[in-house]
Amino acid sequence: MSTDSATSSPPLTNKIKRHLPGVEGVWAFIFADMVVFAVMFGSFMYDRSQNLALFEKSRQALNLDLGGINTLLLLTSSMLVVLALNALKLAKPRLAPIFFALALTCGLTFIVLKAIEYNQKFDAGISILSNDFFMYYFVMTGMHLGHVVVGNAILAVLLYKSRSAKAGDSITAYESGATYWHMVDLLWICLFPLLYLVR
Amino acid sequence: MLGTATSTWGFTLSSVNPITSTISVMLISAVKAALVMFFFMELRHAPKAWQLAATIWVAITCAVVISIYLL
Repeated sequence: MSTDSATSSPPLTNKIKRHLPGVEGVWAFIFADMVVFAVMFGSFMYDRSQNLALFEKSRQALNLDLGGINTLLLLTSSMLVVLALNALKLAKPRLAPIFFALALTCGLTFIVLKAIEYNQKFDAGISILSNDFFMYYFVMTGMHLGHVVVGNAILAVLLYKSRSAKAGDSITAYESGATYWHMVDLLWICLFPLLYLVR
Repeated sequence: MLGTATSTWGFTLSSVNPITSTISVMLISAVKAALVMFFFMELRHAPKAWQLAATIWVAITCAVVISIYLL
């Protein structure tokens, strides 16, 4: 009997064990958030198609270098969070705080560069009320910046928590926080080309 | 990283046709978004329903943006 069941089903080790990192509720929130942003992307493209000249002229007033550097910062930060999680999974918890600290540094630098960019706009007399393009620019980048601020707070908590992490501890909280931070990176990956590069 | 650098400082050169540039940039973004989801967010090990949801989000977002751009 036991021999029959062993031959009729594949060995357990050959089955792929599927696992959603972190808490399922975080993923539900993330997808809801991503849908909201996707609707804004579509709305931006539609309004752009109604006033191409204005949107193109306004786009040229954006600082491409700061936007590009910010993209590289968030990508690097995301990669560092992956390394921190790997350190926790591979029972090397002493490395995790270092990676979280570096990731947090990238996140904070993003905020500083964004503040410089906003300041440049205000100095040039550009505000959310200037035109439709800048309304989208300030609303979408402002909403994203809010996510970055929350993400930095989460990274700071994970950094603090990881200082006392031991091999074998649960990593669900770390996975949830990391997933949120990756979403922040993901949204900027879409937002940056839309505002700065579509011509 | 390479995709970001190419999109930001390569395709924006005035010598590159705007339509070619924009479509290339959006496709590179879609690939980067998918890579972040499946590798950084570890969706490659997630249940198929979540993988499908992520793939649909990337595909629809990219398709909508490019379609409206080309109309």
